[in-house]
Amino acid sequence: MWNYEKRLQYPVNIKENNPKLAKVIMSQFGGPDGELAASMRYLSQRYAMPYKEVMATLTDIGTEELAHMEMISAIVHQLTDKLTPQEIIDGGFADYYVDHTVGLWPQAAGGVPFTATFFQSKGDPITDLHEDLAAEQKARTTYDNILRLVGDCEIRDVIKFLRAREIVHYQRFGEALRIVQDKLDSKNFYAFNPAFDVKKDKNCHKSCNNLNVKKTLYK
Amino acid sequence: MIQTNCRNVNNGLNNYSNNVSSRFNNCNLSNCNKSCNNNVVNNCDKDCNNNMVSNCDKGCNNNVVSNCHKGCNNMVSNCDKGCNNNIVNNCDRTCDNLVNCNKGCSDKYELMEIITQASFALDDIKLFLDTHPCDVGALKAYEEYKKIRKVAWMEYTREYGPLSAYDVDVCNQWSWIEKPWPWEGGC
Repeated sequence: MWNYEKRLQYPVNIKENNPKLAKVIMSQFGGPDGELAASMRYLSQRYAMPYKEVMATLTDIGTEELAHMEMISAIVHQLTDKLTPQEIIDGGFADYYVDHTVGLWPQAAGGVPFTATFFQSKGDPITDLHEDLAAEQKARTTYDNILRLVGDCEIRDVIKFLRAREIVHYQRFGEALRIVQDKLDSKNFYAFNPAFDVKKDKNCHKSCNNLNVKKTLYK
Repeated sequence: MIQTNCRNVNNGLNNYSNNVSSRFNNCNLSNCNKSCNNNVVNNCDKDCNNNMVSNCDKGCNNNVVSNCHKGCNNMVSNCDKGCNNNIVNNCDRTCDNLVNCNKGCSDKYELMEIITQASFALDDIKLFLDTHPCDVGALKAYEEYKKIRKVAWMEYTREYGPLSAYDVDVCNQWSWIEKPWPWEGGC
């Protein structure tokens, strides 16, 4: 389960509002490659992982992404909290403002609402880990894009931290994939899906699927 | 923060607090493990050495101290912490011989910085250990940062309030809700 610590993983202290930047950075909150999507992806995928190292990795990275989501939300909040109506109009923020005032709502910069279609949880460890490697690179690219648009040192500092964490997560998922492959048949990783096809022993509590099902179940 | 008679808190906590105080009131024990308030204790683990101490919380060496919180050598009244030797009034922290000494905003942020950095070190080492669970170097590093974090965390909680809802000191009401919340920005 989750416990909340009343602190940020990395401090966020922004002195001036900037609605244009807020709109852009919002993509890392509710966008397709943002922290919420990352967190939901990993926390959803972990149930189908048969190996403890990978269950732990997905749980811990999924949890860290929630902490990152909080940081991005703090940035957007501090960039918008004292905006005047004129600043909202001039900053191109009016379309978001009319539906959300200066509250936080998970969407991409272009207005696309957060959706589970931003991620997949395929239930196959090799497939899911490849998705995760790609997700971390997508997030890293998004932070690269943001850095090209931001001059302010306070904000750059936080974004650079988050970008560095994406690269570390990529490394960790690479190791998790290596572990899964090592545990599978070295001649053919794809011989079976270890999350579904494994023959379980007599003492297992779950329904024991195996490769020898003769009856067609779907009538 | 001085804890006065916390075990007399009523309001529905009676059964719980009675159980807690009964553990400590009969603290005429040897090998007493926790801070044994209000009693003569032998071999009390929390540094209540030798003499009779009343309301000794921790590190009240030798002499009689009243309301000694921590590190209060000799006789001190309302000593909060690190008030060495002399009688100090309203000493806030590490106040050598001063009155109304207050270290201000900086201590809180210094402590939070230690917590932030030690926690981050643990976050990073934790991810590495997830895929390398037997790496001795990483395990040692984890242990080291864990100790640093624990000390800073406990001190922050004692001086400035809880960082987790499981650490709330109910003597100070439900301090969990107090500001600032992390996204508000700071000094």
